[in-house]
Amino acid sequence: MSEYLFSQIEGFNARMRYSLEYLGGVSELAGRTILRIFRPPFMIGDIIYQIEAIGMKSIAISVLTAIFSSLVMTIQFVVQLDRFGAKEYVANVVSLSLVRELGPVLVALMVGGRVGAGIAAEIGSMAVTEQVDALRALGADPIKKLVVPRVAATVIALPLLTTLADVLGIAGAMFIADLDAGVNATYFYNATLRAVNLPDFIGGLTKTVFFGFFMSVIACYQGLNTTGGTEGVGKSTTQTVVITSVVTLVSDFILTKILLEFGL
Amino acid sequence: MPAPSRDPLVRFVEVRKAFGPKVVYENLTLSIYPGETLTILGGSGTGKSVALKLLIGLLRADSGAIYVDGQDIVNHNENQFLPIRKRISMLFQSGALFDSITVGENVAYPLREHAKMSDAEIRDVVAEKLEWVGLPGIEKMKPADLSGGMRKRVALARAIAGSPEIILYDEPTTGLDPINTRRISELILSIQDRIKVTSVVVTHDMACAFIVSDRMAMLANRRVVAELPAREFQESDNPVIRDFIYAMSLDKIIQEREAAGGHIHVTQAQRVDELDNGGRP
Repeated sequence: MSEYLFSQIEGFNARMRYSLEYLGGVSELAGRTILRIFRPPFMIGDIIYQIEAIGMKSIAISVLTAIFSSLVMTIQFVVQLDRFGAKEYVANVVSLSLVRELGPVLVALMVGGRVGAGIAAEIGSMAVTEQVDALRALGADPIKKLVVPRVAATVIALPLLTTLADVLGIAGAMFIADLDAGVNATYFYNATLRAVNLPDFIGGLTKTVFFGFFMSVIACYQGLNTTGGTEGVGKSTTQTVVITSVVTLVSDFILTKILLEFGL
Repeated sequence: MPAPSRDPLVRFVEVRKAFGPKVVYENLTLSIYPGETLTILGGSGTGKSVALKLLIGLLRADSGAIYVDGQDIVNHNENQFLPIRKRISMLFQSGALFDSITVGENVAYPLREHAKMSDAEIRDVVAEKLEWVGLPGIEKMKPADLSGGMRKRVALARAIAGSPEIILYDEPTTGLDPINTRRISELILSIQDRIKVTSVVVTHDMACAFIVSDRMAMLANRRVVAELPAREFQESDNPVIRDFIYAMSLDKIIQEREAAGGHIHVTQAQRVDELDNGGRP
Protein backbone atom coordinates (compact mmCIF):
# COMPACT_ATOMS: atom_id res chain seq x y z
CA MET A 1 0.00 0.00 0.00
CA SER A 2 2.69 2.47 1.02
CA GLU A 3 4.64 1.43 -2.05
CA TYR A 4 1.67 2.24 -4.25
CA LEU A 5 1.25 5.60 -2.56
CA PHE A 6 4.94 6.31 -2.95
CA SER A 7 4.89 5.53 -6.68
CA GLN A 8 1.81 7.74 -7.09
CA ILE A 9 3.51 10.64 -5.33
CA GLU A 10 6.62 10.10 -7.39
CA GLY A 11 4.59 10.13 -10.61
CA PHE A 12 2.84 13.29 -9.55
CA ASN A 13 6.20 14.83 -8.71
CA ALA A 14 7.62 14.00 -12.13
CA ARG A 15 4.57 15.45 -13.88
CA MET A 16 4.79 18.62 -11.84
CA ARG A 17 8.47 18.99 -12.59
CA TYR A 18 7.81 18.43 -16.29
CA SER A 19 5.03 21.04 -16.33
CA LEU A 20 7.14 23.60 -14.50
CA GLU A 21 10.08 22.98 -16.81
CA TYR A 22 7.80 23.37 -19.80
CA LEU A 23 6.36 26.62 -18.48
CA GLY A 24 9.85 27.88 -17.71
CA GLY A 25 11.12 26.91 -21.15
CA VAL A 26 8.26 28.60 -22.99
CA SER A 27 8.59 31.75 -20.84
CA GLU A 28 12.31 31.90 -21.48
CA LEU A 29 11.78 31.54 -25.22
CA ALA A 30 9.06 34.21 -25.12
CA GLY A 31 11.40 36.62 -23.34
CA ARG A 32 14.30 35.98 -25.69
CA THR A 33 12.03 36.37 -28.70
CA ILE A 34 10.71 39.75 -27.53
CA LEU A 35 14.27 40.99 -26.93
CA ARG A 36 15.32 39.93 -30.42
CA ILE A 37 12.26 41.30 -32.23
CA PHE A 38 13.38 44.82 -31.35
CA ARG A 39 17.07 44.30 -32.00
CA PRO A 40 18.45 44.76 -35.54
CA PRO A 41 18.66 43.18 -38.07
CA PHE A 42 14.88 43.19 -38.27
CA MET A 43 14.37 40.23 -40.62
CA ILE A 44 11.75 42.15 -42.61
CA GLY A 45 12.00 39.84 -45.63
CA ASP A 46 11.58 36.71 -43.51
CA ILE A 47 8.64 38.23 -41.62
CA ILE A 48 6.85 39.12 -44.84
CA TYR A 49 7.44 35.62 -46.17
CA GLN A 50 5.95 34.16 -42.97
CA ILE A 51 2.95 36.52 -43.07
CA GLU A 52 2.25 35.08 -46.49
CA ALA A 53 2.65 31.49 -45.26
CA ILE A 54 0.83 31.98 -41.97
CA GLY A 55 -1.64 34.76 -42.74
CA MET A 56 -2.62 34.70 -46.38
CA LYS A 57 -2.98 30.95 -46.44
CA SER A 58 -5.24 30.99 -43.37
CA ILE A 59 -7.78 33.38 -44.89
CA ALA A 60 -10.08 30.71 -46.25
CA ILE A 61 -10.23 28.71 -43.02
CA SER A 62 -10.79 31.83 -40.86
CA VAL A 63 -13.51 33.26 -43.06
CA LEU A 64 -15.28 29.93 -43.44
CA THR A 65 -15.29 29.36 -39.69
CA ALA A 66 -16.62 32.85 -38.94
CA ILE A 67 -19.35 32.81 -41.59
CA PHE A 68 -20.76 29.41 -40.68
CA SER A 69 -20.68 30.03 -36.93
CA SER A 70 -22.50 33.31 -37.39
CA LEU A 71 -25.05 31.72 -39.71
CA VAL A 72 -25.83 29.04 -37.14
CA MET A 73 -25.87 31.52 -34.30
CA THR A 74 -28.26 33.79 -36.15
CA ILE A 75 -30.87 31.14 -36.91
CA GLN A 76 -30.65 29.76 -33.36
CA PHE A 77 -31.06 33.19 -31.78
CA VAL A 78 -33.89 34.16 -34.09
CA VAL A 79 -35.92 31.17 -32.89
CA GLN A 80 -35.26 31.84 -29.20
CA LEU A 81 -35.66 35.62 -29.38
CA ASP A 82 -38.88 35.26 -31.37
CA ARG A 83 -40.50 33.58 -28.35
CA PHE A 84 -40.21 36.94 -26.59
CA GLY A 85 -41.14 38.85 -29.74
CA ALA A 86 -37.62 40.27 -29.85
CA LYS A 87 -36.12 38.75 -32.97
CA GLU A 88 -35.00 42.22 -34.16
CA TYR A 89 -32.39 42.10 -31.40
CA VAL A 90 -30.62 39.31 -33.24
CA ALA A 91 -28.32 41.88 -34.88
CA ASN A 92 -27.10 43.17 -31.52
CA VAL A 93 -26.58 39.72 -30.04
CA VAL A 94 -24.81 38.15 -33.00
CA SER A 95 -22.62 41.10 -33.96
CA LEU A 96 -21.49 41.84 -30.43
CA SER A 97 -20.69 38.25 -29.57
CA LEU A 98 -18.89 37.81 -32.87
CA VAL A 99 -16.73 40.91 -32.50
CA ARG A 100 -16.05 40.53 -28.79
CA GLU A 101 -15.61 36.79 -28.43
CA LEU A 102 -16.37 34.37 -31.20
CA GLY A 103 -14.37 36.03 -33.98
CA PRO A 104 -11.13 36.23 -32.00
CA VAL A 105 -11.46 32.83 -30.32
CA LEU A 106 -12.67 30.81 -33.31
CA VAL A 107 -10.06 32.28 -35.61
CA ALA A 108 -7.38 31.69 -32.98
CA LEU A 109 -8.46 28.06 -32.56
CA MET A 110 -8.56 27.35 -36.27
CA VAL A 111 -5.41 29.25 -37.18
CA GLY A 112 -3.74 27.91 -34.05
CA GLY A 113 -4.39 24.39 -35.24
CA ARG A 114 -3.18 25.03 -38.74
CA VAL A 115 -0.28 27.37 -38.06
CA GLY A 116 0.77 25.85 -34.76
CA ALA A 117 1.00 22.40 -36.30
CA GLY A 118 2.80 23.81 -39.33
CA ILE A 119 5.40 25.67 -37.30
CA ALA A 120 6.00 22.75 -34.92
CA ALA A 121 6.36 20.30 -37.79
CA GLU A 122 8.68 22.54 -39.79
CA ILE A 123 11.01 23.50 -36.95
CA GLY A 124 10.70 20.00 -35.47
CA SER A 125 11.90 18.42 -38.72
CA MET A 126 14.79 20.87 -38.78
CA ALA A 127 15.66 19.91 -35.21
CA VAL A 128 15.69 16.16 -35.84
CA THR A 129 17.72 16.49 -39.06
CA GLU A 130 20.38 18.55 -37.22
CA GLN A 131 19.51 21.71 -39.18
CA VAL A 132 18.95 23.68 -35.98
CA ASP A 133 22.35 22.50 -34.73
CA ALA A 134 23.84 23.45 -38.09
CA LEU A 135 22.40 26.96 -37.76
CA ARG A 136 24.07 27.34 -34.38
CA ALA A 137 27.31 25.80 -35.61
CA LEU A 138 27.37 28.31 -38.48
CA GLY A 139 27.19 31.08 -35.90
CA ALA A 140 23.54 31.97 -36.52
CA ASP A 141 20.94 32.37 -33.80
CA PRO A 142 18.01 29.96 -34.24
CA ILE A 143 15.69 32.23 -32.24
CA LYS A 144 16.44 35.18 -34.49
CA LYS A 145 16.29 33.13 -37.70
CA LEU A 146 13.41 30.77 -36.98
CA VAL A 147 11.35 32.01 -34.05
CA VAL A 148 11.27 35.79 -34.51
CA PRO A 149 9.86 35.81 -38.07
CA ARG A 150 7.13 33.29 -37.19
CA VAL A 151 6.10 34.99 -33.96
CA ALA A 152 6.09 38.46 -35.51
CA ALA A 153 4.13 37.24 -38.53
CA THR A 154 1.51 35.47 -36.39
CA VAL A 155 1.08 38.50 -34.12
CA ILE A 156 0.58 40.71 -37.18
CA ALA A 157 -1.59 38.31 -39.16
CA LEU A 158 -4.02 37.12 -36.49
CA PRO A 159 -5.69 40.53 -35.81
CA LEU A 160 -6.02 41.09 -39.55
CA LEU A 161 -7.58 37.68 -40.08
CA THR A 162 -9.94 38.30 -37.17
CA THR A 163 -11.02 41.64 -38.61
CA LEU A 164 -11.81 40.00 -41.90
CA ALA A 165 -13.67 37.20 -40.12
CA ASP A 166 -15.65 39.72 -38.03
CA VAL A 167 -16.78 41.68 -41.06
CA LEU A 168 -17.69 38.69 -43.21
CA GLY A 169 -19.30 36.92 -40.28
CA ILE A 170 -21.58 39.89 -39.67
CA ALA A 171 -22.35 40.10 -43.38
CA GLY A 172 -23.32 36.42 -43.34
CA ALA A 173 -25.56 36.95 -40.31
CA MET A 174 -27.20 39.92 -42.01
CA PHE A 175 -27.85 37.88 -45.10
CA ILE A 176 -29.40 34.90 -43.32
CA ALA A 177 -31.43 37.12 -40.96
CA ASP A 178 -33.03 38.89 -43.91
CA LEU A 179 -33.54 35.71 -45.91
CA ASP A 180 -34.60 33.30 -43.20
CA ALA A 181 -36.07 35.38 -40.37
CA GLY A 182 -37.42 38.42 -42.14
CA VAL A 183 -35.17 40.84 -40.25
CA ASN A 184 -34.57 43.58 -42.80
CA ALA A 185 -30.89 43.85 -43.85
CA THR A 186 -30.79 47.64 -43.58
CA TYR A 187 -32.26 47.40 -40.10
CA PHE A 188 -29.69 44.74 -39.21
CA TYR A 189 -26.88 46.93 -40.53
CA ASN A 190 -27.93 49.99 -38.57
CA ALA A 191 -28.56 47.99 -35.41
CA THR A 192 -25.07 46.51 -35.67
CA LEU A 193 -23.49 49.93 -36.05
CA ARG A 194 -25.35 51.12 -32.96
CA ALA A 195 -24.54 48.03 -30.91
CA VAL A 196 -20.88 47.46 -31.74
CA ASN A 197 -18.59 50.25 -30.62
CA LEU A 198 -14.89 50.77 -31.17
CA PRO A 199 -13.92 49.48 -27.68
CA ASP A 200 -15.67 46.16 -28.46
CA PHE A 201 -13.65 45.79 -31.62
CA ILE A 202 -10.36 46.86 -30.01
CA GLY A 203 -10.95 44.54 -27.07
CA GLY A 204 -11.41 41.62 -29.46
CA LEU A 205 -8.32 42.45 -31.47
CA THR A 206 -6.19 42.95 -28.37
CA LYS A 207 -6.93 39.38 -27.40
CA THR A 208 -5.82 38.09 -30.80
CA VAL A 209 -2.43 39.75 -30.38
CA PHE A 210 -1.93 37.71 -27.22
CA PHE A 211 -3.37 34.54 -28.77
CA GLY A 212 -1.02 34.92 -31.73
CA PHE A 213 1.98 35.43 -29.48
CA PHE A 214 1.18 32.48 -27.22
CA MET A 215 0.41 30.05 -30.04
CA SER A 216 3.49 30.87 -32.10
CA VAL A 217 5.90 30.81 -29.18
CA ILE A 218 4.50 27.48 -27.97
CA ALA A 219 4.69 26.02 -31.48
CA CYS A 220 8.30 27.19 -31.89
CA TYR A 221 9.21 25.84 -28.46
CA GLN A 222 7.70 22.46 -29.34
CA GLY A 223 9.55 22.47 -32.64
CA LEU A 224 12.95 23.39 -31.19
CA ASN A 225 12.63 20.73 -28.49
CA THR A 226 11.59 17.93 -30.81
CA THR A 227 13.62 14.74 -30.42
CA GLY A 228 13.18 11.18 -31.61
CA GLY A 229 13.10 11.37 -35.39
CA THR A 230 9.97 11.47 -37.50
CA GLU A 231 7.89 9.95 -34.73
CA GLY A 232 8.98 12.80 -32.48
CA VAL A 233 7.88 15.34 -35.08
CA GLY A 234 4.40 13.78 -35.17
CA LYS A 235 4.19 13.79 -31.40
CA SER A 236 5.24 17.37 -30.94
CA THR A 237 2.87 18.50 -33.72
CA THR A 238 -0.11 16.86 -32.03
CA GLN A 239 0.92 18.23 -28.66
CA THR A 240 1.16 21.70 -30.12
CA VAL A 241 -2.41 21.65 -31.39
CA VAL A 242 -3.72 20.50 -28.01
CA ILE A 243 -1.65 22.93 -25.97
CA THR A 244 -2.32 25.98 -28.15
CA SER A 245 -6.08 25.28 -28.09
CA VAL A 246 -6.14 24.98 -24.31
CA VAL A 247 -3.96 28.05 -23.87
CA THR A 248 -6.21 30.05 -26.23
CA LEU A 249 -9.36 29.11 -24.30
CA VAL A 250 -7.88 29.64 -20.84
CA SER A 251 -6.12 32.88 -21.71
CA ASP A 252 -9.33 34.14 -23.33
CA PHE A 253 -11.07 33.95 -19.97
CA ILE A 254 -8.25 35.76 -18.19
CA LEU A 255 -7.83 38.38 -20.92
CA THR A 256 -11.58 39.06 -21.00
CA LYS A 257 -11.54 39.62 -17.26
CA ILE A 258 -8.58 42.00 -17.51
CA LEU A 259 -9.84 43.89 -20.57
CA LEU A 260 -13.25 44.47 -18.97
CA GLU A 261 -11.42 46.28 -16.18
CA PHE A 262 -10.09 48.65 -18.82
CA GLY A 263 -13.52 49.13 -20.33
CA LEU A 264 -12.73 47.08 -23.46
CA MET B 1 52.81 15.17 -41.05
CA PRO B 2 52.31 17.28 -37.94
CA ALA B 3 54.98 17.85 -35.40
CA PRO B 4 53.57 16.54 -32.11
CA SER B 5 56.12 18.64 -30.25
CA ARG B 6 54.07 21.74 -31.01
CA ASP B 7 51.45 22.97 -28.55
CA PRO B 8 48.06 21.41 -29.11
CA LEU B 9 45.40 23.59 -30.75
CA VAL B 10 42.60 21.82 -28.91
CA ARG B 11 42.86 20.03 -25.62
CA PHE B 12 40.19 18.05 -23.75
CA VAL B 13 41.19 17.70 -20.10
CA GLU B 14 39.34 15.27 -17.85
CA VAL B 15 36.01 16.06 -19.45
CA ARG B 16 32.92 14.48 -17.98
CA LYS B 17 29.61 14.39 -19.81
CA ALA B 18 26.42 12.54 -18.93
CA PHE B 19 22.89 12.53 -20.32
CA GLY B 20 20.77 11.88 -17.25
CA PRO B 21 21.95 8.56 -15.80
CA LYS B 22 23.94 7.65 -18.93
CA VAL B 23 27.57 8.68 -18.52
CA VAL B 24 29.21 9.23 -21.92
CA TYR B 25 32.63 10.43 -20.79
CA GLU B 26 34.06 9.85 -17.39
CA ASN B 27 37.50 11.25 -17.91
CA LEU B 28 38.13 12.26 -21.51
CA THR B 29 41.58 13.62 -22.22
CA LEU B 30 42.67 14.24 -25.79
CA SER B 31 44.93 16.64 -27.67
CA ILE B 32 44.62 17.84 -31.24
CA TYR B 33 47.64 19.45 -32.88
CA PRO B 34 47.57 22.22 -35.49
CA GLY B 35 47.47 21.00 -39.07
CA GLU B 36 46.87 17.33 -38.29
CA THR B 37 43.91 15.10 -39.04
CA LEU B 38 42.90 13.19 -35.94
CA THR B 39 40.33 10.44 -36.20
CA ILE B 40 38.25 9.47 -33.20
CA LEU B 41 37.17 5.84 -33.46
CA GLY B 42 34.72 3.97 -31.34
CA GLY B 43 31.67 1.74 -31.45
CA SER B 44 28.13 3.04 -31.79
CA GLY B 45 26.98 4.74 -28.62
CA THR B 46 30.46 5.50 -27.28
CA GLY B 47 29.81 9.20 -27.71
CA LYS B 48 32.13 9.96 -30.60
CA SER B 49 29.94 12.76 -31.94
CA VAL B 50 29.53 14.20 -28.45
CA ALA B 51 33.20 15.24 -28.46
CA LEU B 52 32.64 17.32 -31.61
CA LYS B 53 29.46 18.86 -30.24
CA LEU B 54 31.23 19.80 -27.01
CA LEU B 55 33.96 21.47 -28.99
CA ILE B 56 31.60 23.65 -31.03
CA GLY B 57 29.27 24.35 -28.12
CA LEU B 58 26.19 22.42 -29.23
CA LEU B 59 26.50 20.46 -25.98
CA ARG B 60 28.02 21.51 -22.66
CA ALA B 61 30.43 19.43 -20.59
CA ASP B 62 29.49 18.69 -16.98
CA SER B 63 33.04 19.24 -15.76
CA GLY B 64 36.63 19.33 -16.94
CA ALA B 65 38.17 21.76 -19.40
CA ILE B 66 38.30 22.14 -23.16
CA TYR B 67 41.00 24.47 -24.42
CA VAL B 68 40.88 25.99 -27.88
CA ASP B 69 44.09 27.91 -28.49
CA GLY B 70 44.71 28.03 -24.75
CA GLN B 71 41.27 29.39 -23.90
CA ASP B 72 38.89 27.26 -21.79
CA ILE B 73 35.48 27.17 -23.51
CA VAL B 74 33.59 24.91 -21.12
CA ASN B 75 31.72 27.74 -19.45
CA HIS B 76 31.26 29.90 -22.56
CA ASN B 77 27.74 31.14 -23.26
CA GLU B 78 26.13 31.21 -26.69
CA ASN B 79 27.55 34.67 -27.47
CA GLN B 80 31.06 33.77 -26.40
CA PHE B 81 30.92 30.79 -28.74
CA LEU B 82 30.44 33.04 -31.79
CA PRO B 83 34.15 33.72 -32.36
CA ILE B 84 34.88 30.01 -31.79
CA ARG B 85 32.28 29.05 -34.39
CA LYS B 86 33.86 31.36 -36.95
CA ARG B 87 37.07 29.36 -36.57
CA ILE B 88 35.55 25.89 -36.29
CA SER B 89 33.07 24.44 -38.75
CA MET B 90 31.28 21.13 -38.66
CA LEU B 91 30.15 18.63 -41.26
CA PHE B 92 27.05 16.97 -39.83
CA GLN B 93 26.32 13.29 -40.16
CA SER B 94 23.17 13.87 -42.22
CA GLY B 95 24.67 16.86 -44.00
CA ALA B 96 22.08 19.09 -42.31
CA LEU B 97 21.62 21.25 -45.39
CA PHE B 98 18.83 23.79 -44.98
CA ASP B 99 16.18 22.37 -47.30
CA SER B 100 14.17 25.56 -47.63
CA ILE B 101 16.97 27.31 -49.56
CA THR B 102 19.07 26.44 -52.61
CA VAL B 103 22.44 24.72 -52.65
CA GLY B 104 24.15 28.03 -53.48
CA GLU B 105 22.50 29.81 -50.55
CA ASN B 106 23.46 26.92 -48.29
CA VAL B 107 27.12 27.20 -49.19
CA ALA B 108 26.94 31.00 -48.92
CA TYR B 109 25.42 30.82 -45.43
CA PRO B 110 28.59 31.08 -43.33
CA LEU B 111 29.81 33.92 -45.57
CA ARG B 112 26.60 35.90 -45.14
CA GLU B 113 26.71 35.30 -41.38
CA HIS B 114 30.31 36.30 -40.77
CA ALA B 115 32.17 37.74 -43.70
CA LYS B 116 31.72 41.25 -44.99
CA MET B 117 31.71 40.36 -48.67
CA SER B 118 29.81 41.65 -51.68
CA ASP B 119 27.27 39.42 -53.41
CA ALA B 120 29.64 38.96 -56.35
CA GLU B 121 32.50 37.87 -54.10
CA ILE B 122 30.22 35.46 -52.28
CA ARG B 123 29.08 34.02 -55.62
CA ASP B 124 32.71 33.42 -56.61
CA VAL B 125 33.57 31.70 -53.34
CA VAL B 126 30.47 29.50 -53.58
CA ALA B 127 31.32 28.49 -57.15
CA GLU B 128 34.91 27.75 -56.17
CA LYS B 129 33.96 25.60 -53.16
CA LEU B 130 31.38 23.65 -55.16
CA GLU B 131 34.03 23.01 -57.76
CA TRP B 132 36.41 21.73 -55.08
CA VAL B 133 33.89 19.09 -54.05
CA GLY B 134 33.32 18.15 -57.68
CA LEU B 135 29.86 19.64 -58.08
CA PRO B 136 30.28 22.81 -60.14
CA GLY B 137 27.24 24.73 -61.32
CA ILE B 138 24.55 23.22 -59.08
CA GLU B 139 23.90 26.45 -57.10
CA LYS B 140 20.27 26.67 -58.19
CA MET B 141 19.29 23.16 -57.12
CA LYS B 142 17.42 22.39 -53.91
CA PRO B 143 18.95 19.96 -51.37
CA ALA B 144 15.94 17.65 -51.81
CA ASP B 145 16.97 17.09 -55.46
CA LEU B 146 20.39 15.69 -54.48
CA SER B 147 21.52 12.14 -53.74
CA GLY B 148 22.98 11.27 -50.33
CA GLY B 149 26.57 11.47 -51.56
CA MET B 150 25.98 14.82 -53.26
CA ARG B 151 24.39 16.26 -50.11
CA LYS B 152 27.44 15.29 -48.10
CA ARG B 153 29.66 17.01 -50.65
CA VAL B 154 27.55 20.17 -50.65
CA ALA B 155 27.62 20.10 -46.85
CA LEU B 156 31.39 19.81 -47.09
CA ALA B 157 31.48 22.83 -49.42
CA ARG B 158 29.45 24.76 -46.84
CA ALA B 159 31.76 23.65 -44.04
CA ILE B 160 34.84 25.00 -45.84
CA ALA B 161 33.23 28.13 -47.32
CA GLY B 162 34.00 30.32 -44.32
CA SER B 163 37.71 29.36 -44.36
CA PRO B 164 37.69 27.69 -40.95
CA GLU B 165 40.85 26.74 -39.06
CA ILE B 166 39.34 23.53 -37.73
CA ILE B 167 36.85 21.24 -39.46
CA LEU B 168 34.88 18.65 -37.53
CA TYR B 169 33.61 15.69 -39.53
CA ASP B 170 30.77 13.75 -37.91
CA GLU B 171 30.67 10.30 -39.53
CA PRO B 172 31.39 11.66 -43.02
CA THR B 173 30.90 8.32 -44.79
CA THR B 174 27.94 6.85 -42.91
CA GLY B 175 25.19 5.71 -45.25
CA LEU B 176 27.33 5.90 -48.40
CA ASP B 177 28.27 3.12 -50.78
CA PRO B 178 31.96 2.07 -51.03
CA ILE B 179 32.64 4.25 -54.09
CA ASN B 180 31.21 7.35 -52.46
CA THR B 181 32.93 6.49 -49.18
CA ARG B 182 36.23 6.46 -51.00
CA ARG B 183 35.40 9.68 -52.83
CA ILE B 184 34.45 11.57 -49.64
CA SER B 185 37.52 10.27 -47.85
CA GLU B 186 39.75 11.49 -50.66
CA LEU B 187 37.93 14.82 -50.69
CA ILE B 188 38.72 15.27 -47.01
CA LEU B 189 42.34 14.54 -47.83
CA SER B 190 42.46 16.99 -50.73
CA ILE B 191 40.83 19.75 -48.69
CA GLN B 192 43.41 19.14 -46.00
CA ASP B 193 46.05 19.71 -48.67
CA ARG B 194 44.45 22.81 -50.12
CA ILE B 195 43.63 24.85 -47.05
CA LYS B 196 45.90 23.31 -44.40
CA VAL B 197 43.22 23.00 -41.77
CA THR B 198 43.18 20.97 -38.61
CA SER B 199 40.61 18.21 -38.90
CA VAL B 200 38.85 16.00 -36.40
CA VAL B 201 37.06 13.05 -37.95
CA VAL B 202 34.65 10.91 -36.01
CA THR B 203 33.92 7.58 -37.65
CA HIS B 204 33.64 3.84 -37.25
CA ASP B 205 34.56 3.33 -40.89
CA MET B 206 38.11 1.95 -40.78
CA ALA B 207 38.70 2.47 -44.50
CA CYS B 208 37.90 6.16 -44.24
CA ALA B 209 39.98 6.42 -41.06
CA PHE B 210 43.08 4.94 -42.67
CA ILE B 211 42.74 7.18 -45.74
CA VAL B 212 42.44 10.49 -43.90
CA SER B 213 44.22 10.16 -40.54
CA ASP B 214 47.56 11.33 -39.27
CA ARG B 215 46.70 10.12 -35.80
CA MET B 216 43.91 8.03 -34.35
CA ALA B 217 42.22 7.93 -30.97
CA MET B 218 40.16 5.01 -29.73
CA LEU B 219 37.16 5.61 -27.47
CA ALA B 220 36.00 2.88 -25.14
CA ASN B 221 34.79 2.67 -21.55
CA ARG B 222 33.93 6.38 -21.49
CA ARG B 223 37.46 7.57 -22.21
CA VAL B 224 40.23 7.54 -24.80
CA VAL B 225 42.02 4.21 -24.45
CA ALA B 226 44.65 4.88 -27.10
CA GLU B 227 45.93 7.88 -29.01
CA LEU B 228 48.51 6.89 -31.61
CA PRO B 229 49.90 7.83 -35.01
CA ALA B 230 48.03 5.98 -37.79
CA ARG B 231 50.85 3.51 -38.47
CA GLU B 232 51.30 2.56 -34.80
CA PHE B 233 47.55 2.32 -34.37
CA GLN B 234 47.40 -0.16 -37.21
CA GLU B 235 50.13 -2.27 -35.62
CA SER B 236 48.84 -1.94 -32.07
CA ASP B 237 48.28 -5.18 -30.16
CA ASN B 238 45.65 -3.60 -27.89
CA PRO B 239 42.75 -6.09 -28.17
CA VAL B 240 40.09 -3.34 -28.28
CA ILE B 241 41.83 -1.78 -31.26
CA ARG B 242 42.49 -5.08 -33.00
CA ASP B 243 38.87 -6.21 -32.63
CA PHE B 244 37.72 -2.91 -34.01
CA ILE B 245 40.05 -2.79 -36.99
CA TYR B 246 39.58 -6.37 -38.10
CA ALA B 247 35.91 -7.04 -37.26
CA MET B 248 34.90 -6.16 -40.80
CA SER B 249 38.17 -6.86 -42.57
CA LEU B 250 37.17 -8.32 -45.91
CA ASP B 251 40.28 -10.55 -46.13
CA LYS B 252 39.56 -12.02 -42.72
CA ILE B 253 35.89 -12.59 -43.47
CA ILE B 254 36.66 -14.38 -46.74
CA GLN B 255 39.30 -16.50 -44.97
CA GLU B 256 36.82 -17.44 -42.23
CA ARG B 257 34.19 -18.27 -44.80
CA GLU B 258 36.52 -20.53 -46.75
CA ALA B 259 37.76 -22.25 -43.58
CA ALA B 260 34.23 -22.99 -42.40
CA GLY B 261 33.12 -24.37 -45.74
CA GLY B 262 31.34 -21.41 -47.27
CA HIS B 263 29.52 -19.81 -44.37
CA ILE B 264 30.26 -17.68 -41.33
CA HIS B 265 30.07 -18.90 -37.73
CA VAL B 266 28.33 -16.53 -35.38
CA THR B 267 31.04 -15.38 -33.01
CA GLN B 268 31.44 -11.68 -32.70
CA ALA B 269 27.73 -10.85 -32.77
CA GLN B 270 26.98 -13.57 -30.25
CA ARG B 271 29.61 -12.20 -27.91
CA VAL B 272 28.08 -8.75 -28.08
CA ASP B 273 24.64 -10.19 -27.30
CA GLU B 274 26.06 -12.04 -24.32
CA LEU B 275 27.66 -8.86 -23.04
CA ASP B 276 24.33 -7.06 -23.36
CA ASN B 277 22.70 -9.85 -21.37
CA GLY B 278 25.21 -9.52 -18.58
CA GLY B 279 27.28 -12.53 -19.61
CA ARG B 280 24.41 -14.98 -20.13
CA PRO B 281 24.21 -16.56 -23.62
